[in-house]
Amino acid sequence: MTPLRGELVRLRARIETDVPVLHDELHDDVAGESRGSMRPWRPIAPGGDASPFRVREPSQEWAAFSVVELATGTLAGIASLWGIDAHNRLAHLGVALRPDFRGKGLGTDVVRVLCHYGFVVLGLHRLQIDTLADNRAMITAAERVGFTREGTLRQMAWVMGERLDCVLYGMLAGEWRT
Amino acid sequence: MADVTPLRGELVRLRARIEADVRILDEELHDDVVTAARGTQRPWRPMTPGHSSSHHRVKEPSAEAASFSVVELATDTLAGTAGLWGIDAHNRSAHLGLGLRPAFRGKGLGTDIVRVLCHYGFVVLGLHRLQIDTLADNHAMLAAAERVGFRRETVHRQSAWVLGEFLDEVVLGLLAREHDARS
Repeated sequence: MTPLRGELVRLRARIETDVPVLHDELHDDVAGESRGSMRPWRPIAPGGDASPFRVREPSQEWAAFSVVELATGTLAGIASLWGIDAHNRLAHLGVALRPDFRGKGLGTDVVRVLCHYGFVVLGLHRLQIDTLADNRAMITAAERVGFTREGTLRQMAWVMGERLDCVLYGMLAGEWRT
Repeated sequence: MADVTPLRGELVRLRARIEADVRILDEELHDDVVTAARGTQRPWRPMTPGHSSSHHRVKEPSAEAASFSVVELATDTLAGTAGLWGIDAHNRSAHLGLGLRPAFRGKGLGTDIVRVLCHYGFVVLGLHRLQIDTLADNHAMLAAAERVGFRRETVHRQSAWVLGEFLDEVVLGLLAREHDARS
């Protein structure tokens, strides 16, 4: 019954059986996790309370989804709004796909569904995507959905031995077509 | 006691917050609804000056933030607040902020404060990048940042709800090597 469905994916709450899969394929990819989180990667036991993908209590500040590919009914990755700010009516958007589900156009569909959630369900005024300047997949998804490139934060991130630029994309509610 | 802090510019010095500062800052900065709403980008709420929830209260030292009070050298008077926040030891970055008491605005203190905060961030802390996040119409802050060499990097369109309207925010960044080249 959820409206959180695109052409290729649907979003649902995290469930316990997702956690070991996501931990193994996303967290334990040291380079990928370092790029995505922009925090120092640390060893974390799968299944523990410290897992970044654990099932958590609902929160006002973020909404953590699991992504399911419609064609196969299989867990394809994670999607979230984070830094939800009820006063300024904005949030940040994040996506990470399991390796086997990359390069299939799911990212663009996930971004569209997250926009529907942020603008229509939550009533936000602005969504933004903060990503590394060389993350072609995320940039392509953002631009396909209609986000505007708003600038580059120079040498913002320390990622596996080098300093990388981050780019910022924004979309306003008035620019979103349902 | 001798003042041995190196955190001194031409017009100001920075020191730790003390209890006597808090009520003055609450009355002149927090109770100025327009300035407080523009500066904090949180919903303004009424608060008793000097209350323990004050944004300006004396806090425990932290790895994530450094809160200073600004003293004008010419008069040896409290002129405002200044600090680094969001200090990120992994990416070696931090954000920079300041707020001046009304009687101390328009005197060029802001530029001097930004310079001293850069010295603190780059030299004392060893950071790689400092950034300033401000409203696109905050000409005093933009002028101070650009005089010190910060470059405009992004415009977050309509990202701040300020007293009835959505305003744009600007991010300006300065890298350690750019700071070193100027000093």
